[in-house]
Amino acid sequence: MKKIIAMLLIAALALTSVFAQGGNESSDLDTVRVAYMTNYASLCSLVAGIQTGAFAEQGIEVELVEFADGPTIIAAMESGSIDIGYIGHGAHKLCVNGRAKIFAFSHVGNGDAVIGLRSHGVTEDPASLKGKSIGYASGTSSEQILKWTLESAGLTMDDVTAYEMDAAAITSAMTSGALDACANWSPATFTILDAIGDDAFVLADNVTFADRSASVASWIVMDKWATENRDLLVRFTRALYDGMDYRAENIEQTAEWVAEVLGTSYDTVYAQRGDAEWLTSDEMIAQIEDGTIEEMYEVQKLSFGSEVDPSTPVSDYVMFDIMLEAAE
Amino acid sequence: MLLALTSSILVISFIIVVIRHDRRSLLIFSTCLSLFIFIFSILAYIAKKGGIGREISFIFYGTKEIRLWFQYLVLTLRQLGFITAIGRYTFPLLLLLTALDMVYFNFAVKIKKHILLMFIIPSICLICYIPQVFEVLVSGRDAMLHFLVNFSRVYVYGYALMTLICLICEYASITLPFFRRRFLSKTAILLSLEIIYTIYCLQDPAQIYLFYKNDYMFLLGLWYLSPAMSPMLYTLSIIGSVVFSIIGFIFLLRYMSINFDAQKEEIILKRDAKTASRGISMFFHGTKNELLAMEILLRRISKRYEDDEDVKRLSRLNGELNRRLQSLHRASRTDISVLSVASLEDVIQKAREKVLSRYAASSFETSFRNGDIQILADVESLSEALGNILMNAVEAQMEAGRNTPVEIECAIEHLWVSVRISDAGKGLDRKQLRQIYQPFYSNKNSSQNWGMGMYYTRSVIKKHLGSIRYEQRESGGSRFIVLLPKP
Repeated sequence: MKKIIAMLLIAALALTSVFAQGGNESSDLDTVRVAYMTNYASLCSLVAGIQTGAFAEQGIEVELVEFADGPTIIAAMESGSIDIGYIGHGAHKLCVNGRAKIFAFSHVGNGDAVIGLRSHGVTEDPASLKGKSIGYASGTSSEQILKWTLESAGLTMDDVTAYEMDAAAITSAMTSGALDACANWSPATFTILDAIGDDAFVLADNVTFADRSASVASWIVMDKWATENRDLLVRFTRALYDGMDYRAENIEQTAEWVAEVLGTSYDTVYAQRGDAEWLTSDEMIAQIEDGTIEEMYEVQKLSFGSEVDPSTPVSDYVMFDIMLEAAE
Repeated sequence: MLLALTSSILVISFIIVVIRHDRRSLLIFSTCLSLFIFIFSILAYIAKKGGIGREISFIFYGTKEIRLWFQYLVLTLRQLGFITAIGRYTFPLLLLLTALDMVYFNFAVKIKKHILLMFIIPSICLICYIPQVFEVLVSGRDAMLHFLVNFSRVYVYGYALMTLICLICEYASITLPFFRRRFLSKTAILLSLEIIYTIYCLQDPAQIYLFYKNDYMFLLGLWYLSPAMSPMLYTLSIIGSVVFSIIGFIFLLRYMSINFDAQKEEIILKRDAKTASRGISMFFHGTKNELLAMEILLRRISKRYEDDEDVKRLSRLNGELNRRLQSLHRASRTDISVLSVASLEDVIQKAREKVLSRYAASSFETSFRNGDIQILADVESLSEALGNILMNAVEAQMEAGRNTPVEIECAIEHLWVSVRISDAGKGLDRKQLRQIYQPFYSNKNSSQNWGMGMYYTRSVIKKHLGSIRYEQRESGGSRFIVLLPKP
């Protein structure tokens, strides 16, 4: 027995030293832990910036950490395990409520959708959702678009059997026929539509509710981190702009890089290029200066209804100064 | 690695429960199962929600395919949260029950009588953490939420502490090195499970189904998703757990193997003994009448030739031959009439007298740690059996040229009464140890031995529902430990 214990301890020490050596790599660059979601919209400008060396040029090393949704990213930032994150429309209400600050506009998206199954009695009329089993991810844009879809038929969440799930579980449950309908976002929406075929159809998407809200996606940071690392944040934004500009002219190459990071096929990623209107940095700065982007955030804030304080000024949680300084 | 580790522990504990099918194995398996449920649900949650880098992903899942399998599991957040709660709240209870099953000190024995009380707090926690119940309880009541989170945390801490205290008290109460070693090995399994559980035990499972509720999200934290440790610390924890679980399970497997070997040895010994007994019986009955007839004849001749030295010598030789045949016959039969309550001191005294009748100069140092101990015994056969060990001890010391007293230590060891007989002889080598209990085996160059002493001793102790163990003393001598059940 003593021999066995001794051998096990030696093996443990050897393994530990291997891991310890692996963790001793040092670098002169500032490491920034960035949270992303597994889609093109979240990664395109970031990956383009990494691959073209824009971040390295700004003295930044990006450490990518994958998350399922925006609220989780904000909570991770609060706990200190993440520095910068990307969020979709739904999580913006947490920013309005003071949980995080937006330091860069990403895009206006059209990746969210409510999908129904014809064979389960769901029709193009949102009223057909009454009494149906519907999967959604609470706190995200999928919850928002589901609520709007139901509202359009005079229904509420109480009129349906809503299952609170994560995006991946919604995809599995939908493709296996366990749900009648679901609210999800790209690329899960593509996966569901491809897997099910003609039986599945888009009941509503962001365009359907374009009059009610802009589905804005943004880059966020904790207020404290932004104050303590202002210079780093400006440099990060600058590199992000370079990535945005590269993406605008090199969609195929960017899609290839994103596919590599996600470990999925190029075609799946390339198909998501239509999920949003992609701006270059110059276009974005122009829209900041003429107030278009602030107006979009204002409309978005009001679309959250009673979940946020509508009197909160957009400038309280959107740092336009960082966006403008980075463009100088 | 984490997944592989918990799965392996579960599989091994299942194999053990199938082979041993006893209560303790079942308890260990149940504890492993609750840990597996706990880790499985957390890994599913992490896979679904993200938040870990590639290194930690590898440490947790191994391959990307496994992580994806977890990610696409069809489970609602409520289901996932409740499964996590089941693992979190059953593990400390099962761990404590397993620990209590391993300990025998007085206070633990008293606690065991009220074991059902142990179930109350975990049951309350489990009921409260049914998502629907939890939401009703805490909705709009921050104080209640804090209370429940802290109450369950105190339970987790409290039971873990009680488990630890039980194990430490038990270790402190064991005096036999062999028992101590065995106890430490068993404890290693519990330690390995505790290490894995500790990684996430402080986190409240309600964070999974209350995550998106704005009021609770930031209160309950994000620790399942937020790596609490660096990849190296995770690796160290897992390695630590692997080391302990390997030690523990190797012990269990060795214990099973020892039992199997002991059973095999028992079968061989029984077979040898049956053959020997039949041979001895035939020989004894075949020669008994002639020896008796010869004794009668010798008495007559003695009367006729009272002063003849040769006749006297022949009578003595015949008497000795008769006595040795009787002794051989007795050794081949270990039938015990009745076990009755007896004083161990009396048994030891009789055993010592048996030795002193042959070796009057021999000396003994006897100690009774717990005063006079009562045992269930057939005094005659047991004292004969212990006398054989003492006799061997005295002869071993004489052979080694030492005349220190043979040590006899009597004590109560939980459910057992132990009698430790230690000599300052040369000890036994492995070959001798393998053969010592076989009939007609003797390592003594003497015409006084049939080689049936230790065979007889072992048989008698077995019939007393006890066991006998050999240990080599550090000083080189032998130590026989006889364990008899405490009445």
